[in-house]
Parts: sequence; C-alpha cells; structure tokens
Amino acid sequence: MKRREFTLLAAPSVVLMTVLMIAPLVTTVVLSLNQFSYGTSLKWVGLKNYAQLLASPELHSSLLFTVLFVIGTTTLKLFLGFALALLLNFAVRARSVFLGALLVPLVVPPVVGALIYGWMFREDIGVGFYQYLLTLMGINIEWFSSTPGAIALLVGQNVWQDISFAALIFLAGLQVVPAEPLEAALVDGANWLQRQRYIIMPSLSGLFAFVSMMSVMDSFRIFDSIAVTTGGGPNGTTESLMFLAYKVSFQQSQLGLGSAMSMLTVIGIVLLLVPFLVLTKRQFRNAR
Amino acid sequence: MTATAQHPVDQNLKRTVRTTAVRPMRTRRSRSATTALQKTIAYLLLSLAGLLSIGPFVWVGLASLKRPVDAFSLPPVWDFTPTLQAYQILWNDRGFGHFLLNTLLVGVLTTVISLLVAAPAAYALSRFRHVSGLWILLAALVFRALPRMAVVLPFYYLARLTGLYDTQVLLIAVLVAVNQPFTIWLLRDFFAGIPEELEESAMVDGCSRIQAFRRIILPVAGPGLVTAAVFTFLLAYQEYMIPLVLTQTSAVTLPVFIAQFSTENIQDWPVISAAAVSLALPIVGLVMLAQRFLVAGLTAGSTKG
Amino acid sequence: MSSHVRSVSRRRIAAAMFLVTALGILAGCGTGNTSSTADAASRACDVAAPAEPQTVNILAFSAPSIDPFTDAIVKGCSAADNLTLNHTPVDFTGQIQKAQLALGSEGNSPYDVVEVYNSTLVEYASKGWVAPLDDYISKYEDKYQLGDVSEEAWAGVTYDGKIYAVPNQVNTQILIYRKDLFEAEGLSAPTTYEELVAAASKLGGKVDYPLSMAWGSDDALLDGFHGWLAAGGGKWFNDDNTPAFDSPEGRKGLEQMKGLLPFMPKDTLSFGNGDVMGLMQQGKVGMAIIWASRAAPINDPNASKVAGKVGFAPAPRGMSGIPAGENSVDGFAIAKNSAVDPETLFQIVASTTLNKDVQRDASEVVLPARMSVQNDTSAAQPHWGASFENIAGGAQALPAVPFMDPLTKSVVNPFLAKAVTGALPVDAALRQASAALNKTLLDQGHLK
Repeated sequence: MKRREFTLLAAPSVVLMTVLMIAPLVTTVVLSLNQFSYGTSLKWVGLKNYAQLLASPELHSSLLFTVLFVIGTTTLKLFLGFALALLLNFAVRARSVFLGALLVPLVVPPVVGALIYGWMFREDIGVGFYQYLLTLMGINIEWFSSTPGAIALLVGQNVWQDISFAALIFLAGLQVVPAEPLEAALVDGANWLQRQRYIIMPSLSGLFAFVSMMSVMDSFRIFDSIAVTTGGGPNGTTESLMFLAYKVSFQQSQLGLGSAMSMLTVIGIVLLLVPFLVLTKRQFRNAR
Repeated sequence: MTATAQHPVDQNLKRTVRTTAVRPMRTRRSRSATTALQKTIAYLLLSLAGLLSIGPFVWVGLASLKRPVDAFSLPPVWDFTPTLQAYQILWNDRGFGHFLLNTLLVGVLTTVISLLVAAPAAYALSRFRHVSGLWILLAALVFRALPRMAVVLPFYYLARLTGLYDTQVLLIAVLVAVNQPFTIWLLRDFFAGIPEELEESAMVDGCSRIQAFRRIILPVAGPGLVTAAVFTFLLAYQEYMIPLVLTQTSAVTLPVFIAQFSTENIQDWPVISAAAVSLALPIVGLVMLAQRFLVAGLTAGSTKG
Repeated sequence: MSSHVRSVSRRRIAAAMFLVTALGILAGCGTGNTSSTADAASRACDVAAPAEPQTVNILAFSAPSIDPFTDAIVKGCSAADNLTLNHTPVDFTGQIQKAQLALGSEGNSPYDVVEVYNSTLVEYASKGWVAPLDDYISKYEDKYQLGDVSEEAWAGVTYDGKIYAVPNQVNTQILIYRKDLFEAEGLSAPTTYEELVAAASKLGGKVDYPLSMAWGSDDALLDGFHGWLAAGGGKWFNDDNTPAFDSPEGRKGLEQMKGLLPFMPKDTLSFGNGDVMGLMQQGKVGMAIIWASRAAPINDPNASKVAGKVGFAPAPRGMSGIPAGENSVDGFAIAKNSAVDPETLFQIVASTTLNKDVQRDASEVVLPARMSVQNDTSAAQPHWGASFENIAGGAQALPAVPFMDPLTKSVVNPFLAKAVTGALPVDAALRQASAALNKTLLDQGHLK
C-alpha cells in the first residue's frame, strides 16, 4: 500500500484520536501538575501531587487490590471461558440457546449488572437469593463485611458479566483449529487431555493472549461495579485505583490530585500492557 | 511454538483459508470418542452455567412483578398476584422509553460512525507495513485501556467551551473517539485474514485502492463488520461515566437514568428490577438475531465471501 | 432440514420479542402522567411569566422526601407561559458531582435551580456559587406567605447571616421501634444510651437484629458519629475551623457506637438509609435511629410487613441531654451563574414548593416547612410528635462549615469504620482522623 493511500484511509481515525484522546490526556497531565478545586484557579505545584500519592498508604492498598482483582478475574476468565467454549463446541445441539443465556449478563451495563449481582449475595435484606441458597446448604460467607469475601464478590461479578466474551472468542477459535495435527494425534491415540494440552491450546495461544489483554485492560480500570456493590468496603480494602481517583476528585474536590491519580493509573496500565505491546510489535514485524 | 508470535484472530482466519474441512472431523470425533455419559455431563454443566448466568435476572424479573412488600422477601414469596406497577412507574412516570430511544439512537450512531472511521483505518493498518502504522496501532491499544477518569474533566471543559454540553452530537463524538480504537483492533484482524491477492487482482482490473476496498474487501468482511458493530454498540450503550458528566436532560442515557434509582430507596428496587429486565430483553433479542453472525464473524470472516 | 426449521422459528420468537418491546416503547410514550401530586402541583405555580421563552434546568436527586417538591416545580410551572422546565434524573452522589462541576465552572451554569441541604448549601454559599435570596424574601413575603415558614427551616439554609435557599422541609433522625415487640417484652422506648443497650440486649433472640443504623462507611457513618458526638456534648470544629472531635466526647461517642455494633447486622458498615428502612419494612429489626422521612414507608402496608406495628420516639439522649440524631433542612437554591433571571427562579421555587397543597400532600414523607401545615391536625402524621421533641430537645445539624459533606465525610469515615470494627483503637483512630483532616483542610486553604 502506498503512503498516500494509507494517509487518506487512516486520517479520520488519527485526527479523531488526536483531538479527542491525546488532547484531553495532555490536558489531564497539565492538570495533574496543579493544585485546584471546583471554581478555583490552577496553582502550579509541579510533581507534588505525584509525590504525595506515591507516599500515601491508600494508593498502596488500592494498587494491591487492583492487582489482585486483575489477576483473579483474568485467570478465571481464561480457565472458565475456555472450559465453556469446549462445552459449547461439544454441544452442537441447542448451542445457541446456551450461548444466548450466557450472553445476557454481557449485554447489560455493568452498573445495572453489578447492582443486581450484589443483591443476590445480600445477607440480611430479603433480596439475597443466592445467599439464601448458600445458607440453606450451610455455607456462610461474609461477602460484604470481610475483605476476602468482598474481593471474591467483585471478582465473581466481573467474571459473571464478562465470561461469555472470552467463551465466544475461544469458541470461534475452536471452530478453526487446524484439522491435520488433530487427526494425526487421534491416530496416535492421544487422549482428550493430551489433545487439549498439546494441540488445541497451543494453536489458540494467540486467543489466550487476546482474552487476557482485554481482561487486564478492563479489570485494571474497574470502577462502576465497585461503586454499586461494596462501595470500597470493608474498611477501604476494595477501593480500586479508579475508585480512589473518583473519591479524591469528586468527593474531596482535589482535582489536581485526582488527575495525578488518573495518570498514575494510565502509567500502570501501559506497564501491564507491555507484553501485549511487544507481542503486537513482533507480529507486526513478522507480517512485513 | 511459533504460533505465539502470531496474532489471534488473523492467525485463525488464515488457517481457515487453508483448512476448510473442519466439520467432518468433528462429527467423526463425536461418533468415536463420545459416550452418552460425557454428553450428559457436558449438557448438565452447560445448563448450570446458563442458569448461573441468567439467575439474577430471573430473580429480579420475579421481583419486578411483585408488590414492594413481597418483592424482596426470603424465603421467597411464590404465590403472589403479579402486578405491573413497577413497569408502570418505570415506563409512564419516569419516561423510560424516552431514555431507551435516546440510548439506542446514541448507540447506533456511535456504532455507524465508529465503523465509518475505523474500517478504512483498520484496512490501511492491515496492509501498510511502515513503522508509523505500528505506532498508531500501539496508541489505539493504549486508548482502548484508558480509564475514563483520565479524560472526563477535559471532556467536560470541552463541552462547556463548545456549547455542546448535553447534546447527542458531543456525546456521540466522544463515544466514537473512546470506542473506535477497539473497533480498529477488531477489524484489522479480519482484514488481515483476507488475502491481499483479492484486491490486487481487482486493482489490476483498474479499480483504485479505495474502490477495491469498498467493492471487494468490505462485502467480504461482512461478518467481521457485524461482530465489530455489536461490540462497539455494547460499549457505547453501557458507558456510564461519560454520559454522566456530559449530559443533563436531553442526551441522558440509560445507565445514568437507572443510577438515579440508586439503593437509597428500597421501594425503587422493583423498579430497578423492571429496568434491568426491560433493558436486557431488547438487547437479548438483538443478540439472538445477530448470534449466528457473531460466531461466524469471529470464526470465518473470509471463507464466507 | 429440521435444524433449518428450528432456527427459523427461533428467529421468529426473537423477532416477536423484539416487537413486543418496541410496542412497549410506544405505549410508554403515549400515556400521560399519573402522579398523585400532579393535581396540587399543577395549580401551584404563581410566577410573572417572562417576556422571552426561558428554559429552567433543575438538579435534584430522587428520594421520597425530595420528589414531591421537584415534581411540584416541574409540573406546576411547565404550564406557565414562556417557561420550559427540565429535571435531570440523578442519584445523590451524581447530584453532588454535577453541582460542583456546574456551579464551579466559568460561564452560565447548565443548572439554574439546585437541590441543597445544610452542608451542601454552606459549601456553595461560601464559594459564592448560589444567590442570596433575602431581598426576594422580603419582597414576596406577603404574596407567598413566607412568614409561615418555620424558624428551623430558615436557619438550615442560612449562611453568614444570609438566606441562600427556599427551604421546604425539616428532617430529623428519630427512633423508630417495633411497638409489638417492645410491648411483649415490657419495654418502653429507650431515652438514653444505657436504655438503648439494655433494650437491644433484651430483644436479642426475639428478632433477627435488635438494632440497625445506616452506618455505610462510604457515606452516612459520619452522620451516626455526629449524633453521638453531639449527644455527648462534643463538637466537630473549633472556632478557627481546626478539628475538635479528637476529644473525650468524641472518644466516648465512638466507644458507644462500637458498643452498639454487636446488635446490628454484619454488613452494617455498607448500609445506606434505604437498607435500614428495608430491614425495618421486612420486620427484621427491633429498632433504628433513622430519618423521620423514612417513617411513612415503614408504616405503608404496600411496602412493609410491620405497618401499624411501629412506634416513634425521639432519639435517645447522651450525657449533654441532646438527642443522638441529626437535623437537616432541604431546599432549592438558585445558581448565581444561571442565565435566567434569579427573581423568576425564586418565584418558581417559592410558589410551588411552599404552596400549601403541595406541602400538605408531602406531609406524609416530610415534616413540612410551613407552620400552618405543621399545626394542621388533618395533615398530622404519627411520627411528627417524635420529630418535634427531637428538634426541641436540641438535635443538631452538621456544623455550618463549607467542607463538611463530602470532604470531611470522605476523609474521616475510613477511620471511624476502623474504630467501630475494632481494626484500630478508638483513640488512635480519632487522632489519625483529626490529623488527616487537618492536613486536607490546610492543603485546600480552609485553615490558615
């Protein structure tokens, strides 16, 4: 493709990204170097906001939670998503019925999904149907008043809503697993597990990377679902980076500090994306 | 292990081009290796997953038909006289339909514009091997991951400066900007899976690059476009933070509208439940209609053309 | 072949479902409004119609005690010539976020009328974001009978000697208790902390949870502490705005809260007022200190299993004789940077929200600001007596400093939560909370 053609085709997108993504980001960087609140003028403080944040125990605890959350949701989405895809691939009959049911949580806005998911696990108020069933079975987990419980609740909610995306991607991949090595393996008498481990999974490794990338991106900036379920509790142990940024900006009116918090999160995301960026780069080179 | 270096979807699409005889293989496997027991277990597990998936919706769906006093009551009240009171409040008193229509309008326009902007860019990125393409791609990846908080304040100032606060125009522009990096990513993979010979032969026949893209490539990428459209629409329609900050009355979308009921007033809970059901149903209908394309789009792309 | 047939029918079902929903949209848009307050509201608006068409935007969160007044403004004045009224549906945190953005930015505010209560009013007034209304109040005193509005109501919307909002209600945290359970146990409504603990102990085993409070650590926990701090004679701030709650009274109050927690549901620290109300409605709770505006829904047979079984009393008193409940006043303020004439806005708000019929219709969910309605026996509600006693007993509003909600709340709450749950000793928690707040106030220029 000629450069002129490329410029012509890519220009609208690049202009849009520059005007509505890069410009706002640069603005936020500038804001993050100032101290200001609603209706007050900017006061340049340099890197003071960043220094203050890096020294704050709240940032450390929210970073810890966010990382735990990212690891938990991504691992589960990969494992369960792949398992679901295998089952769906296997269940040719009625596949679209199952797929339809699995897709329902995916299409509902996270604010609403998280709210009703949270209800299911309420203990005292008569809305926690799952909690009621668990209690009948003699299982009693403190979803809101213990930290492990609250983290498990949030991870469960995220996996519940997003798992079908992973399953859908894996299912699509499974449909086009190359036939020859599989047939060879069948002839050699490889059992089911061996086939998954040595043939199916390696040929889907690109998809595993794609699904983990999407999950890492979405989980790292988690906000909505925390706001409507645990509210960051108990004792602030489920405050994600973005929840903290929201609190600092909109509740404590420290907009400069909040902007710095957002920028730190952006840096965190970019760091987490490095493997995927490298992967993209390598793939781009190979395709040349 | 060379497969790791390849990108997911386009790798599979390329494979598809080579291996077309997938189906016979699968039927043979199921005949030889599957027992009735395995089948039963698989369907049981799938049913369980499906139940867990829709469980909360069924529960709030029931609640939405009950009076507040019975709505959330454990052990559950099974024999109740259904009432549509919650739906009445939602649709009549609170004007849910207005917000639903607005959300659909914003979602559809965002999707269409995102596709118009992203498809040519994605195609160009799949064909242009210069390093600047790589940079655009990496930037798009980072933008896809960007937390909303990092851009909402500038967006608000921009809205007030341009006088476009609370208009669909600005909301859609911002949603397109936020979502099209992802659209590019999805589409680039589909385009990359389409053999270059296809448009090259067209260009030999006298088509320009743009014409070849419009007349040859786009029709072939149909399922891919549908898939990208569905995911772009979902992202736009689920967005909470951006419409919260950029709208007031005219352009308010559903997630913001529903948040007003919050948890402060438990009598609103059946109404929230009614909203969850009202919101899920049309989209589920849409997804069921598009499902065929969705799997096909993620799977095959180029073979269908 | 058969699979083809199946898929067609499935598609048809999906299409039918979609159609039904689509028709639902039309039905929803076609029918009119059926709110019970519509009648009173539609007659209420008494405003000199502006010469040019004007659009008035109202920012108010949705709650049983706020909706009647928002509806009165919107429905009442939409009939007036040249006036269009819009209401943005938001929740409380959304209201705070949007108000700060709208009032604190340059240019005309997208919102002309903003719902406020004591703490938000003081914040907006101190920053010059809302207009003082004293001149209009004297000008329209007779026309709208503003002398009839209670002293407490005016006091709640006054900052630095000026009035910044049109108040429509007084709210206060009272004790709502299960009369039936109390009678069965031979108990009477507790009037002190000690009696409260004794009653809670006695109710143990008779009801799921003897006690419930809205102590959500992301919000109302601070209100709970405010009650016990004031009841013990303590205060939040010194005259120079430095924190004063790290005091013997503060420690006592927090210890008292810690002593109450064992009688409450495990998840109390995630509760908002709605949760406590819901638990009461389902008959799971023996008693609660909660806003009086929640009394009516707890007594409503359509929503509550304990309708008719609840009693109302002032909140128990502490050492200083003050009830451990909070007072608040809600009203509507006028944005200083609104493009609409403030006098028109004042007329809109005052003529509708203080209209006698509107006030009487709302009396079920609020204690109306108008004395004539408060004294009207036909409008009187069972919980009013407790509310009057609470107010007369000296229940206090949050201090009138411009950094109470959400700033102080969001800084102090995490420490309160740690103390109440025992994650931090009470004295350390208060010391750290005080230090953290002091630093934030210094940073933001509230302290010299």
